[in-house]
Amino acid sequence: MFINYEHNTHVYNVTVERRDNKFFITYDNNEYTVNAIEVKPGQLSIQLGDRAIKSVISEGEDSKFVFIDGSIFKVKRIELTGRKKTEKKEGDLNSPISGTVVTTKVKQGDQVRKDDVILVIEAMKMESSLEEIGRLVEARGFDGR
Amino acid sequence: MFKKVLIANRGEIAVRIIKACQEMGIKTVAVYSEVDRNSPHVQIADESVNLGDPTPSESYLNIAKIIESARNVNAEAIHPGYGFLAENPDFAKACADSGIKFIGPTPEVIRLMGDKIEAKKTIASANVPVIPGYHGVKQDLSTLIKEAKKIGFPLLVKATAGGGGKGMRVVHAEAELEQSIESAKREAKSSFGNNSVFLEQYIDKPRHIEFQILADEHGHVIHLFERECSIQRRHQKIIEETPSPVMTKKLRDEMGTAAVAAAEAVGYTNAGTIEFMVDGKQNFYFMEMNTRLQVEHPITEATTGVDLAKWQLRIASGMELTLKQNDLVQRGHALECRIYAEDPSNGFLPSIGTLEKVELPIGPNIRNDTGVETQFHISSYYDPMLAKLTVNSENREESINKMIWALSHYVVLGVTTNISFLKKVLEHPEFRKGNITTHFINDYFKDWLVTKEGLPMDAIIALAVYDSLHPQRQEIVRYKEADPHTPWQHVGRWRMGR
Repeated sequence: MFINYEHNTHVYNVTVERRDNKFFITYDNNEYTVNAIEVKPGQLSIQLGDRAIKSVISEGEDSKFVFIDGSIFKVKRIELTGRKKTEKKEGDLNSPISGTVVTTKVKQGDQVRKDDVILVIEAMKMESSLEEIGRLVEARGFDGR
Repeated sequence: MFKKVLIANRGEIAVRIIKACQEMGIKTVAVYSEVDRNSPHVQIADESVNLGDPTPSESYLNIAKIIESARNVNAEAIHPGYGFLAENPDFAKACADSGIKFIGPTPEVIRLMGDKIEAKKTIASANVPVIPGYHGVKQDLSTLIKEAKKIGFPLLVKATAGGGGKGMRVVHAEAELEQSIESAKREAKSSFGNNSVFLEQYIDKPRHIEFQILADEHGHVIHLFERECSIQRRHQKIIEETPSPVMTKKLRDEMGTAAVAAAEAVGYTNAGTIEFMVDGKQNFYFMEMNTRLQVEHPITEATTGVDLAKWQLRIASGMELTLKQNDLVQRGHALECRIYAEDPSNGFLPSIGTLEKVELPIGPNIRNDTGVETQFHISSYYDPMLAKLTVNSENREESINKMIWALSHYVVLGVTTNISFLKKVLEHPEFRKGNITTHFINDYFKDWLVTKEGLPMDAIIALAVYDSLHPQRQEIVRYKEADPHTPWQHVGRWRMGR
């Protein structure tokens, strides 16, 4: 079984074969043979040689969350069907949080430079400027809503 | 003692207070907004009242609705928790006017301490040192700019009615001044309904050290030692500890005496906290007084053995403080981490989503205060703090190691959290040495990223194992086509449970 995982824009191509509790995993030309069981839903106990890997995995709407030794990784499983990933269009600026727009610092058609504040959003009682959220590499205008 | 108390709050603090009440045999009433219908605080309370619309001003900040709820259920007292209406003198007054006991100080004291300018004047008159600054009533931009230049840079713009870092800006140069003042005023207006600000000299190598106070309604005031709260991001504390690594017996005595004097000067009652700024030369200055139970109160409870929430209830019901200053001792060391749904590698922006899994670390001297659970949805309506993790040990080093262990076993999946960030802060050599200031995060973690190295091999292995244990539908179809003898051929329609 071939699987592609995407994490922070990097894609990891993995193959896995299963025979009972034995799993044969190939990644980056390395083969790993592990014994694993799902102790309870999402909680895995994996034995790799003399080392134990303890992991908790849960499924979100479109991605999985992997807990390993106090760190959490958000990973998306993707299908590589020959077509390239759609690149973000120039001028797109998405806010990662939802909230109330307090002020807009620019209007449609304005020239803005990198690090300029576009608008200020208030969510969870904290004000955040959109320049903090994403750096504007290049922008030609602001499509005001 | 009260028979029934309404808790005008949500999340972990509501849960904590409800538990204290229940231990004391007091019936509890939770209030909740529409999005909190299934929250833990609603589930554990004896009764609950729906406040409707989740917008804070329509729910947890709505004085009329909360007073009416308390009357309808015949609650004798209201505990406000922290945040929301906890430091709102109008709310305390409205409670008094309705014959409901507000669990906290009097409306007059809240009003006085809530006005940071008047608070400083009053406290200074009790011979407690304060930081130089402009605390005038003239709030026009040109006056503020003129006064700012007099104080010099860097300086602090702070909401007069503020708290918790809201409505606060550090200005490093004149060029940033105007925008900072405007932004602070807006944030102050939306958070506290008052856009008045003050200016203050910015202290070098500042530590934020506060003293816990308990005062009864019979004139007894005691302090329960200090809490070091210097580790902050966006001017909000994320790690607190007691004792402070910088504290000496002499400084503790001086600050404790000043804290008690400050509380006495305003006729303070119930639990409160005097916040001080301590500079690199161990000078201390009064910053503000928080007229409520603090978020970080568990570390004081862990080292003194005193239950602050229960004392709040006892004091409010008119009981005398039986704790004597000389009988109080600090034992060992305690550390608290605030678990936030936020992204430390992206400016600590709040993270929204459904908690797919929550598993808390359990062990000796590990305390979890939490108001969320698996399947709880984190919305943008309220503060993104999910829970608090408190540990205590014989000494600071053991506490740090225990906390690192606990954080490593803290599972919250579904939203981005600050857990691995907290761990990195605790592991930092300067933190371990106790060399901390309120600039610590900015100094050492400014451009911190969770995963510089990408996905670790262990995570890839775990994912591969998980996905072959939980094949997707199209893979099952593929197996069927590949192997006519597979048992999948015979199972029919089914789905994997989550």
